[in-house]
Order: sequence, then C-alpha cells, then structure tokens
Amino acid sequence: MKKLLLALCSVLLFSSTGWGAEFLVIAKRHWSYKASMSVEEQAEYDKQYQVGDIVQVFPDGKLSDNATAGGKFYVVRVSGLAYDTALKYHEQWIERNGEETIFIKRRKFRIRATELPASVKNQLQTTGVYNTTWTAVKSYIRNNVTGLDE
Amino acid sequence: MRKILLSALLVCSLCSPVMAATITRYVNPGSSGGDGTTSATSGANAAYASCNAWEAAEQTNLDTANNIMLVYAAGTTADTTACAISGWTTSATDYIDFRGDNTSGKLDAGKYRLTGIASDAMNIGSTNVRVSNVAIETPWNGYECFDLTGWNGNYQIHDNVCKSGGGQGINVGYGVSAKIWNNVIYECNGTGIRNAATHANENVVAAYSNTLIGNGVGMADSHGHVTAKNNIAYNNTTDYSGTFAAASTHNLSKDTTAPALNTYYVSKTLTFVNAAGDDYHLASGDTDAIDMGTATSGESAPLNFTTDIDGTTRSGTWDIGADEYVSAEPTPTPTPGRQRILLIQ
Repeated sequence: MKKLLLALCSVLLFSSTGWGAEFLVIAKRHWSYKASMSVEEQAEYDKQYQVGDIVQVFPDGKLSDNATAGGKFYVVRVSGLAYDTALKYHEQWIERNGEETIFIKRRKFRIRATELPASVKNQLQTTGVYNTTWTAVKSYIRNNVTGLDE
Repeated sequence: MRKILLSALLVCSLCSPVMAATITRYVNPGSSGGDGTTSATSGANAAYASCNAWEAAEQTNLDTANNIMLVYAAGTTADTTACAISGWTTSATDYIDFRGDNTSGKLDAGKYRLTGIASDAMNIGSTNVRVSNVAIETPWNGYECFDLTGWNGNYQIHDNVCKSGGGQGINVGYGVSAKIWNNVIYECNGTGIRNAATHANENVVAAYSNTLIGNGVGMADSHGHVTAKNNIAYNNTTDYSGTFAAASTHNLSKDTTAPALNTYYVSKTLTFVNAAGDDYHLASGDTDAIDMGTATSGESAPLNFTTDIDGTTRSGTWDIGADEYVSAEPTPTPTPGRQRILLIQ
C-alpha cells in the first residue's frame, strides 16, 4: 500500500512539472539602432522589435534550446502558465482606422530583460535559455500599452 | 596599351552592377527551432518554427548588404501566428521572396499554411516583397490575408490561396505597386482584391488570372489603377466594383459587373470541380472560362508567367482564372504478363 502511494505521488509529481508555455524573446537590438538618432529615426526605431519583446508563445515542449538561433532569441520556459492564457503575450500592438491596420509597436508585451536579477541575466547571456515559473517572471512582464507589469 | 586595357577593365568592373547574393532560410512549423539555415526540423541548423520567428530573427538592411532573402516554408503543421513583414530595408534588386509549398490550388492540410490568426495573416509594411504558394485561412472579422501597406511598396503576390471570414483577401494600401496573379481568394466578408488608394495615380496594380469566389466584392478599384486581365469574379455579392484601367480585358463575372473594357464576359455560369469542397479548379464540362482568356506571356516580367496556380503550363488559348484546365491523366492500363502469387499457409 505504501509503495502504491509512493508510486502514485511520483506520477503526480512528474506530471505536474511540465512547462506551461514557452516564450521566444528578442535577444538583440534591431539592426537600425544607432547611438545617436534623429527624432524621426528614433520614432521609427521605437516601432521595431526591442530586446525582451515576446515574439511568439509556443506550447509546452515545442522549442529546443537551438531555437535561440545563435543568440538572436532567448527561450524562456514558464511553468504554471497555461498556453492558451499565454497567447496574449505575443499580440501585436496595432490599431484599426476603419479598414486600415496601423502598427504602433511590434508587440504589446515585453520582458524587462535589462532589469532581471543578475543571475538570470547571466544565464540568458550564457545559454540563451531560462526555465522559470509564472510567479517568478510575471512581475518582469511589462504591458507596453498600459505601462504596467503583469 | 597594357595600361589602357587595365584601366578599361577597372572601369568596367566598377560600373557593372554587382549581383545580389541570395541568403536562403527555411520555415517549418513542425520544427523545434534553429537558425533556419536548413530544412531540418531539429538541431542547431533547423528551420525556424514559424514565419513570425524567421521574420523577427532575420530583419536586416538587404539593400546595403546587397542580398536577396529567399525563404522556403514547408511542413504539415499549421503556422498559427500572424507574420508581419516590417522593419527591413530593401530595394528592387535586394528583396524578400517568401515561398510556400502549396501548389494544389486549394487549402491543403498537408502543406505549409497560415491559419486561425486573429489579425492580418501577412501584413507587409516593408517594400519589395514577394509571396507565393502560401495558403491562408483567417476566420477573424475585419482582417486580411495579405495587407500590402508599405509606402512605395513593390509587391508580387502570386499562386496563393486565401479563405477569409474577415476583411479583404488582398488589400493594396496607399502608394503601392503590386502585381497579383494566379491567386484563389474566396469567402472574404470584404473584397477579394481591393485597391484602397484614395487618390489618382497613387497605385499601380496588375491583377491577372485570379479566381475570386463568394466574397463581398470580387475585385474593387477606385481610380482606374488596376489593370485586370483574365480574372474570374463569381458568386460574390458584387463581382467587380469601381473603375478599372483601360487596358483591362478578358474578365468574367456571374453578374453583369465585369469591366466593360475590350473583351469581357458577363452573366456567365461556370462549373468547378467541387465548389462545395472549396476546389475551384475548372471542371471538364465548363464552357465559359476554359479557352476564353488571353495569353499575357508576352508582357514584361513578372507578368510574363506561363503557368497556373498548380504549376501547370498554360497552353493554347488560355483559360480565365487561376487554373488552367488539363484533362485528367488517363489511368494506366496494367500490362498483361506473368503474375506472382504469394501463398501463405
């Protein structure tokens, strides 16, 4: 009986440790970045992907570590966040003017990559991959529209 | 003399245009992600896992680098995230060429496709972009399969399939030059091919050999920007709307709206292979579109195409629409001969 309970517990433990969602995140500045930009250039640059932007949300187990594409992306695996719930984090920030689509920014949500704890930044810079929990990461996810963190 | 020859060689090498180098990348939604340099679905060099991932990873200034970005998208898994193409710098010779693998003329679940996307499937804000053989299904109201939005954009959209419950099939924005051919576009609430220009001389659009079925409007032009040739607009609420360029010809409608320019056909009844199953290939019994078009192969590239949406060579008198009818291959008759019989005890 004791063995059976132990086996059951271990099954439950392993089945609940699966990652919930995987974020593919911009790791490099857009190519148009310059140390000094005119107002127009800055406005155009601000519309492009920024470091930390969540390019795409994938379901648990989809991406390998190779998805970092040689340093172009971070792969952030988040447990405790359902894939369907996470899909909003790769929405584009667009507005509609009648039948016209206007891009404000490439993404509504961004991981504040430069403000992550030093150990996390170090791991991302070293491997490009970080496994975390929704509880730990959500306060670093900034809603660009509202300016508030999740 | 030698010096003169050397100088001449030097001048020639400086004045001759340098051919753009081609960067090839791969997309496969069945991939676990990689750097996109091969079509493999695993490993460091695996294909990108989506069009969206490719676009975000590879954005660059193609013009300065003198590169063409050639992308092959394939696979049986659906790509379910919008793929905006924006933030690139291109030129007429340094462009993006995105090629899917759907050559069936239908939404093929066994090929690369963009489906279930809650915004424009391909909103293309960068200039000089070509997209071909991609199937798109966008069920969301108000959004497009293709939204061509780059000011001074130069687009080639061909051999694609678009089914949209949303806005337009192909929306041509402002200040755009677009060549649109061999596309099948159906069930859009808005317009199959729509020229959205609001001023005279704003856009230059060539729409050739497209099949537009069951949309709100089949094809719409506002200022005579669209040269329409060999198009089928059929069973739309209105098949054609607006004023088309004077060179338009050989367009067909079920209602009476085909542009009354040069040769045109109105009030026609067509026969498709399986309209209920979204197969808009012309059926053998059709008499109103088969052999009723005009060859455009003598026009300047890329409008000198000679194939249909299936890759079939157009021959004889061209058919109207995206499909060139070919009779089915005869079923081979087995050659009589010795037969091997396997006995299982």
